[in-house]
Amino acid sequence: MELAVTLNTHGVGTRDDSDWWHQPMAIEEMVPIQSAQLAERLGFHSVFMGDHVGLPELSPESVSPLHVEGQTNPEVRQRGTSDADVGGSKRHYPARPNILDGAVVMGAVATHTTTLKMGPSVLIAPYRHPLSDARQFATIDTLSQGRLIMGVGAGWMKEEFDALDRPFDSRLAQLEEAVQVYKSAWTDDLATFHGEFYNFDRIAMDPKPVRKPHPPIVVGAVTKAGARLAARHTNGIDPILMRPHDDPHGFDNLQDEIRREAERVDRDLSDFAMICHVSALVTDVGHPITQQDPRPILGGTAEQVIEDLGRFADAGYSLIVIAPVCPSRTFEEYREQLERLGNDVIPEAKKIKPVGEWWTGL
Amino acid sequence: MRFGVLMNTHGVGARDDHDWWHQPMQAEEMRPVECAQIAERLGFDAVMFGDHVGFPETSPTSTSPVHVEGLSDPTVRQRGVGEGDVGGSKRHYPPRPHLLDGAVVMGAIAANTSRIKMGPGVLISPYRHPLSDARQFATIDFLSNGRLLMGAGAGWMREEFEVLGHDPDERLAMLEECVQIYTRSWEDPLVTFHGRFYDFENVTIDPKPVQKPHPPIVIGATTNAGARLAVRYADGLYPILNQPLIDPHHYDRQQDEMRRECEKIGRDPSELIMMGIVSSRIADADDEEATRTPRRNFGGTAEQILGDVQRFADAGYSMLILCPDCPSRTFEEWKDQMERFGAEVLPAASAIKPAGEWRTDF
Repeated sequence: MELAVTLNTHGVGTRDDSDWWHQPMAIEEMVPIQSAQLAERLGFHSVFMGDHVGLPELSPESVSPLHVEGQTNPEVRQRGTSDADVGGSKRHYPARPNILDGAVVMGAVATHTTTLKMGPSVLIAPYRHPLSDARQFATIDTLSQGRLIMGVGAGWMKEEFDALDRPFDSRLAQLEEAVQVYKSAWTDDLATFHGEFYNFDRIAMDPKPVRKPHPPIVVGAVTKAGARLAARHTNGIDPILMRPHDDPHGFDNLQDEIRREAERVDRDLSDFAMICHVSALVTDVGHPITQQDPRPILGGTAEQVIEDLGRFADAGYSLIVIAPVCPSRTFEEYREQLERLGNDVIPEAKKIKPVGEWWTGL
Repeated sequence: MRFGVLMNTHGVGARDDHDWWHQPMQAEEMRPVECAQIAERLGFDAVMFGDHVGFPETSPTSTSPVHVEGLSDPTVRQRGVGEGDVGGSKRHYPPRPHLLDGAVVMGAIAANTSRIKMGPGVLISPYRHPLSDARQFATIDFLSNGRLLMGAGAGWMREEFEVLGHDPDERLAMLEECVQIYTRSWEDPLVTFHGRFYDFENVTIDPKPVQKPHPPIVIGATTNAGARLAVRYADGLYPILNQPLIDPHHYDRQQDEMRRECEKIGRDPSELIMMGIVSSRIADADDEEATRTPRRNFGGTAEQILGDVQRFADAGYSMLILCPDCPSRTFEEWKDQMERFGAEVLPAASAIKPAGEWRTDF
C-alpha cells in the first residue's frame, strides 16, 4: 500500500464526529512546492490538488460530496461555500477561500521533484473544454517526465456550473465524453470525437504524454453510474471516504458494479486501480482521540493508523490519499502531520498488501 | 528599450524577406525552464508564450497575424497549419507541432527564476472561460511574486474556434468581455459580470494577484477596434511586427486611435504600455544578414540592430519581444542568438528612450 497527500492549495481540512471540511488558510501558509518536496522526501507516492474555478458566494442548492443522508450533520446539509458562521463553520468551503490553480502549481512541482507523482483530485471535467485540459495535463506529464495521475470527476457545486454556463444535470455525461477526449488527444495521431457535448475532427495534440499508453485516469465517484463510467473508460476509481467514521467497506458496492460492468463490456481490469480519499490525524499516545470509542478512522497513534490502513487494504485499496487534519490552519501543523505519516506510518504501510485483483501500478 | 523573448514552447521561428513562421521542434529540445533562466541571466526583461489548444490538421480559412498585405508572400496567404511542403514550408505552424501549455510552463518558470517577467503573448481569450484563466494567471502571479505580464488577444485561427465550439466572428466581442472579467476577478471581493457571452454574480476569486491594482494587461491587436479596446479595458497594446521588413510606424494609426480613445473616455495615455513582437537575427558583419538589401529588421550586426532599436523606440515602443530566427531548429542556435543579443545589444539598447507619452514603468 502507498500513501499520497492532498496539497494545501485549497486550504487545509479539519473534522468533527460526522464531517470533514476545508478551513480558510492564509495564502502565506500555502507553500505548495515546499510541501511537495517534503512529501517526496518522506516517501509519499503522490500529491493531489483540488479544482475549483470561481466559487459562488453562496451555494444553497449544492450538497458536498461528503454528505451521506442519515450520517452527516443534517443542520449543515447545504454545504457549499458561505460565511463561516452559517451552519456551525462546517460548510465544505469557507467564504472566499484562497485557492491556487492546480495545473499551474503542478508545473512548478514537476520541476522541483523527481519521483513524486502528481495529479488533480479531482479535475472537474465539465468546467473546461477537454482539449484544453488534455493539452495542459500533457504538458504536466512532459515536464514531470511521466508522473501525472489524472484524477477527474463530474463535480457537485451547481452554482459554479451556473457561473460557467455549463449544464449541471448532464455533468456525468459530460465527464464520460471528456475522458474519451483526453484519451484520444493523448494517443491518436489526430484526435477525433463526435459526442453530444464535444465534437471535432482530426485535431493535432502533440507532444503526446511521456507515459504510455497514456497517463492513468482515475474517476472520483461515489455512485454506481460513476463506477460504470470508470470501468468502461479509465484506470481506476477514487471514492471519498473522508468522514471520520466512514467504513472502508462503504463502497464495496461500487467495486461489484465495476466488475459487472467490466464483464459486460469485456474489459480487462488488470490496469484498474482502487484508490480512495481519507482524512487522518496522527497523534502521540496520550491524545484523547486514541481512547475515543468509536475511534475516528485513521485517527490516533501511528500504530492505530497503520491498523486502520490494513482495513482499507482489506477493502481492496492500494493507494490512500490523505487529507491531514489541521485545525490550526498552519503549514507547521500540516508539516508535522506529513512528518509523522512519513516517519512512522509509511514504512509499515508499504508492507501491507491490498486484497483483490486490482491494479497497483498507478 | 527593454527586451523580452518569445519562448520556444511552440517551436522556434524562421524568416525570409516576406514572412516569419514556426518551425517544427521536438518537445525535448524546448527546455523552457533552462531557456527562461538563460534569458533572465542575460538581462532580458520578459519571457512570453504562445497559446493554442488543439490545432486542426489544416486551416484553409485562416490568415496568420504576421501577414502584412503587400509585404508577405501572397502565395502562402492561407497561413495556418498544414503540410510543410505547401506554400514553401511557410505555413504559420507546421503539421502536428509540438506545443507546451504556457500556463503550466509559467508555473514551472515562476518557481525557477527570480526577476524576469512572464506572460502569455498572447492568450487567446475566447478559448477558455475567463474565470478559469483569471484563476490560473492569478496563481502564476502568486508563484512568481508579482511577475505576470498578461497578454490577451482575440485569436485568428478560425478552425480552432470551431473545434472548441466558439464563433470566430464574435472573437473581439468575447475578448472585450474577457478582459473586463480578468480585472474584476483580480480586484473585486465578489466578481459580477453580465455580458453577452459571460454572465455570473458574486463569484469569489482569491487570492488576488500580488501586483496591485492588477497585473498589467496588454492587448495583442493590430486594428483600430483592438486599440480602442486596449484603452477602455486594458493597460496597453502589443501588436505583432514579425514581418521582417515591416515599418516600425506601421501601427501609428492604432497609436493615434488610442490617443483619440483616451481623450474620449478621459484616460491618461501615460497609463498605457506600447509593446511589440519582432523577429531577429544577430550576425557578423560579413554575413548575408548584415549585407543584404533591404536588410531585415533586427537582422545583422549589433550596431545595425541598435539602429533598428532606435527606429522602434522612435515609433513609441518601450519593450520588444524577440523571436530569434533559428533555421536549424535547435536549442543551441537559440541559445547562441540569445547570448549574442544579450552581450552585444542589450547594454546599449537600455539607454535608448522611447518616444511618445506611453507608460514605461512596468
